[in-house]
Amino acid sequence: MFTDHIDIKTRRAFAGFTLDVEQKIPLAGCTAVFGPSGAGKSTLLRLIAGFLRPDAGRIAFGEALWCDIGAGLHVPAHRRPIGTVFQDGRLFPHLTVEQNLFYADKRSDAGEAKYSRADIVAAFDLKPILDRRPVTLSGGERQRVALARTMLTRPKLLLLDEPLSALDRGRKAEIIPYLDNLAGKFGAPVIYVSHNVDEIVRIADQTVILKSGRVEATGATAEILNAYGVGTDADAFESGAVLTGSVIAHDEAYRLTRVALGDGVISLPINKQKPVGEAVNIRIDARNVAIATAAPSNISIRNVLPATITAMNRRPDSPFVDIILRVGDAILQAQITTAASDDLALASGQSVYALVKTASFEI
Amino acid sequence: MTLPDLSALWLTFRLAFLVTLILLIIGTPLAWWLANTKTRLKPVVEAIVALPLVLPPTVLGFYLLIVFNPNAAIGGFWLSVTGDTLAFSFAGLVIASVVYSLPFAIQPLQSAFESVAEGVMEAAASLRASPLDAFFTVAAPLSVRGFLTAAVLSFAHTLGEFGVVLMVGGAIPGETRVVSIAIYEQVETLRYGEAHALSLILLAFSFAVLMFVYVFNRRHRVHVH
Repeated sequence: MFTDHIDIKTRRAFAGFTLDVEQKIPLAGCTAVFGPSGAGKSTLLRLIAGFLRPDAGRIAFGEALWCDIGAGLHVPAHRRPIGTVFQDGRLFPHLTVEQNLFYADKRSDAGEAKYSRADIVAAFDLKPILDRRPVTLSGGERQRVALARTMLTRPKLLLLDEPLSALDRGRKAEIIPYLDNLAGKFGAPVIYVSHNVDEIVRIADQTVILKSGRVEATGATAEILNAYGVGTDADAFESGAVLTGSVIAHDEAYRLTRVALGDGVISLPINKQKPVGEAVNIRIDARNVAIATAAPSNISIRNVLPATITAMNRRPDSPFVDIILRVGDAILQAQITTAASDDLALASGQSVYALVKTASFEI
Repeated sequence: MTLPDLSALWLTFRLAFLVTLILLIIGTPLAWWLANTKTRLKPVVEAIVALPLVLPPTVLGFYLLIVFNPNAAIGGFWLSVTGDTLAFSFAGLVIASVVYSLPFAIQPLQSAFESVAEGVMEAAASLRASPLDAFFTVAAPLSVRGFLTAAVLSFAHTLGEFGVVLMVGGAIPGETRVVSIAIYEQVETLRYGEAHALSLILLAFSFAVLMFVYVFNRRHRVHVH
């Protein structure tokens, strides 16, 4: 498949903060823009969408030029073939769900419609709520309508600005399968802004890490998250690691999905969205990893992975030590007490077993 | 009580209707601009718009008279185009009333537009709606109450206007003799019966309109989450 890029070179100064980004993002699959709050993620999205005019720079979408400040060009937001989904949905309160969808459908380029309004209503399961007003919808329903409405503009690029952050955990799990659909089923490339590692690991193929208005790193999601912040730098984000495994089976009876990881196999809550053989990213929080020096028996934890300790970082003024483990080619991180570590006489280079509870996997 | 002065009544309603229409047409873009502009001139424009609220109608009328003078630019232009003077004419009355009632149209519209969240307008743009399209399909429907309040206040305020009319319009029957002037003259000449008839009609009308507005506003609350 021919993959194009959106070529972003943009600078915008605010009081006390400057966003300065130069980045190519492939127009295929899902790219996450990740970073702590205040890193400029939403600003970057607003510059791409055209809601904000950069002080300098150029944004080219494949062949099309959206912005070239040097040449005095700035295509207004409504003329860019972008679909934006906002954190709070931003449905029109004076219209019903159906009218909200119609609003987008009516204004989209009908000639390029690869799918109809009925297709979208079906794909997002909106039939039962078509006549409702936005104010009567739950947070999850609202985001589903917002996603559907945006898809009806037939966007060539989707910008999602923390679309799950206003939802509780249960609602998130409800929306994520629909997000998986966007790049796959509807073929629209996605730029996904979030500060939540779990969401990104689950959804994004590529990740761009943004820090203080600048791109810190960019690459394949698991790789980049482990290299920057999540895996090693305990201060940056929640400690933990992202591992890539491949699905080997779905166990219907026990409602589990088995994933091969290094020399071991781990079990996750069943997720049939991912077919057997497909690679999956799994984020494992350091607090959910325990260490044993011998293969344990008589224990409820079934995810036992042979591992090697590669580093031990004692946290000053804290009862904990961060232990970096190698599992096959991947890095795993465990947070245990220094007392336990000393008791087991753990040391760098030692072969151990890493234990992870299935119930600790969020999505 | 005798038969009311129907020609004064008819003239007044024609005036108020026309003024309301003009105010909604010129007030909407002005209020939208005021609600969205980031220019430092905003307070200046806001103060000018609000002037008729505090200025004695006679002062306003006095300045308008000067502007309407055929030797002045505006008055002269009007005379050359229409062959008529602005002072002591219906057209002059309309212009004077538009100026006099301007804040009553602008202020409710501006506050309605200001409460239309910027985010919703961005959402409209993200759905390919041009700014004008988004105004008519999103901002305006969300500001229904602002439009209604602006229309009713403009209409009612023009209906009750007295000082400015006296200054720039006088009391030419069928041309500038509006209800408030008619009542004044009737009272001056001790024709209390006629004054009663006109006053009662105005009282009943004003009450009915305000009732309608309050009832409408109760029922038609647009829900914004």
